[in-house]
Amino acid sequence: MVKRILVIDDDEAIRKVMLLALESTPYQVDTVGSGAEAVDLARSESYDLVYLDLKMPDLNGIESLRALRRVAPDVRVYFMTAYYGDYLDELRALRTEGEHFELIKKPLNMRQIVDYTRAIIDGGGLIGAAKASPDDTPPLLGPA
Amino acid sequence: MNTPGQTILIVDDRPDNLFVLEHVLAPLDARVVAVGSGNDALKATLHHDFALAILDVQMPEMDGYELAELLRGAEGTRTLPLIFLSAVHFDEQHVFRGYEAGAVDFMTKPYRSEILLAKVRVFLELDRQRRELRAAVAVERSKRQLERILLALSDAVLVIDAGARVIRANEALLALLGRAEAEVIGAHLGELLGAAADGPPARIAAAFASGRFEGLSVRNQEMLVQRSNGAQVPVLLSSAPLPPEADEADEPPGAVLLLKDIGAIAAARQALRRSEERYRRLFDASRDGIAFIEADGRVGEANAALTGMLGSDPAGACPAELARAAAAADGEVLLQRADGRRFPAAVSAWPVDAAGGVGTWMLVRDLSEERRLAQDRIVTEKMSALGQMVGGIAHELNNPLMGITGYVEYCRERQPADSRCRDILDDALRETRRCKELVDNLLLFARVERSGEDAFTPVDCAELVARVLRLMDYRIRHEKVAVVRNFGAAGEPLHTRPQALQQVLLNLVVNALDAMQGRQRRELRIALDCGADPVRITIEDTGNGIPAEQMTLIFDPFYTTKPVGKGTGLGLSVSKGIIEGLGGEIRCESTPGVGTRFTLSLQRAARARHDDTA
Ligand SMILES: Nc1ncnc2c1ncn2[C@@H]1O[C@H](COP(=O)(O)OP(=O)(O)OP(=O)(O)O)[C@@H](O)[C@H]1O
Repeated sequence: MVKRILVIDDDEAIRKVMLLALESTPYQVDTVGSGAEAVDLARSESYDLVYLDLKMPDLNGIESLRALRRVAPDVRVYFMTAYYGDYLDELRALRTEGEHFELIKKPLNMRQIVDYTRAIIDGGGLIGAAKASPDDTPPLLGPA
Repeated sequence: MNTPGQTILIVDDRPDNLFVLEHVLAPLDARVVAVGSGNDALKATLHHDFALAILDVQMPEMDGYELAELLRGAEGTRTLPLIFLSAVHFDEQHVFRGYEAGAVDFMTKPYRSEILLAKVRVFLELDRQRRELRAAVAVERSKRQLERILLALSDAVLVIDAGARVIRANEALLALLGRAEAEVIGAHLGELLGAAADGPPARIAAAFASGRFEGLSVRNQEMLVQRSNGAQVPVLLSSAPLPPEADEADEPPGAVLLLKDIGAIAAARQALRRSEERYRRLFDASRDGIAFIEADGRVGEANAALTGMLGSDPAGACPAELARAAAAADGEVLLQRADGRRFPAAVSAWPVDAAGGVGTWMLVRDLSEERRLAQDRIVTEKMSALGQMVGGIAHELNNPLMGITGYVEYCRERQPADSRCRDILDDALRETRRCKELVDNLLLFARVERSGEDAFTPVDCAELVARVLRLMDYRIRHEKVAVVRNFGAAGEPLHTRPQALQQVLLNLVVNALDAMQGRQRRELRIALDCGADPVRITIEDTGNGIPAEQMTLIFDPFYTTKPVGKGTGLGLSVSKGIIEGLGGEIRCESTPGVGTRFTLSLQRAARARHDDTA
């Protein structure tokens, strides 16, 4: 069965680049501009991976994740963000709630988008270092 | 009974009459002053206090009546009893005149001597009684006066009788002992003062009993007396015997005692000492400078803080600086230190009485620290405002950058390998990457204030420096730079933010390599002193150096001498922010044409200056 990816970002440039980059992969990619649309979509569709922006109007990434979990409790979620300093406390809170997520640093070039996505979906995750322990500050994955 | 010392004046112009009269009066125990005229009689009254005068009526120049009138008119002889003697019979008119002139008796010559004698005796007795009465009144009055003085004294006074019992006490004594007069009068001295058996009161009582009265004279003996509430009061005791009554034996009938309460003096002295000590401590420990300027302008006293401020002890000297400061009362002045440096100070001065005129107390507060903090605060505020703005912009740039990069890469991959379009898209990508680097630097700069993503951990400095050198290994080898490492002995780990510190080191190394580009001698020296606290890291190059006039600029954000597109001018500004955020210090020394050295000093156990959960 073809793997499906949902990209949630309020910035159209990001949504478009993700689509272009993942064109070369066998994955099917959907994009939405807000957490609310994502929740709507996830009611009927099921995804293997969700890329989620942190900084968004209305529902931010963290609130979007909480809402999304009600309809898609198991989907793997990667926050894609340039800077999460403003959300550090909320991210820690998520961790202590037992929520599972990873962080990927923006900006990414095409190769990185493809490589990371393949690694996550086919390899079951990113490099070992990407796994953060719950009480640690989550590591920021970035271009090597 | 005749009182010794009574004197009788007799006046007659005939010496034989005087002779007879003296003879008649001889049996009396009285002195007789005989004179031959009224004038001599008046003169004699100036030297004697006569008990009686016997006047001959018939005398030339001034007769007896005239003399009597003059005596009557004079203060000392107004009441002098007079007996008139006359050879002629006293007629009614004479007698009347005689009485008017103050006569008390008249006798006609020849008189019967025993009658005269008897009369004289009566007058002498009257005179004696009068004198005694007058003396008694005078004594009584002076006694009462003395007593009033004693009782009015502010020191405690006690009068005791020969049995050492109190017969008088003044208010001050009652107040001293805290007792009512009724409790005190009649009390025995020893019991009243509650003193030891061998104390001064007991000795005074013993002096009466033994008859050794010299023991009654005591001067300023210190002792404790007991108050009614049990408290003990230190006093100085003096005493003196009362003078004996005239007609009794020479034993003193009692003594008068004076008790000076020195409790208040002792307490005041102690309070003074304590207060003096308190102010002394304040003076010594004050962080503000304090000085006393004598009337002649010399510095009488200066505390340690002031000495520290001025860099030399001004005491005894007359430094113009302080004089100037004193003149600028309650103002702000720029004071000069012994080494010539100047500092702003707030000065308050107020005049006080001093030996030889008006002295001045001065309070000097060094304002440099305050000024520096205020300046720092302004800089910090400016920086954090700038940081926020820059951070916000950089953030917004990230997404479109990622868009551009993606689009360009997408197109580039779809061009034939050696097409011109592909080359141009490569250029576009390179320029985009430069934009991204700038954004990264801006974000780093903005993040100085909120480095929550990089927690404090123990770090091995040598390891961190080695990693930085590894990162730059390619450039170092490519540009043929010799690296001299002087890492010293491994020390305790440093408590710091590893990513932040790595960022700083990287920036310093890159700057050093940049500075040595195209130079003959290219040597990068990195020294580490991990054993010390603060830990010191120095990065030294043999580059072109920094001209003195640029030294103050290099830490400013956006200051760069590198070609457009190469340097952002944020490196050192960010580094300084990071190091200060770590509680450390970054310094730069440089000799143009020779090289530059940056030194980092970091507290081993540093704490975040701000809360790191930003
Ligand atoms: N080791 C050095 N030797 C000589 N000059 C230096 C050295 N380090 C810094 N400077 C001077 O200080 C300026 C400011 O340095 P800073 O690191 O802040 O920015 P930059 O290096 O110009 O830019 P970027 O940080 O983006 O590389 C430099 O442009 C250079 O003139």
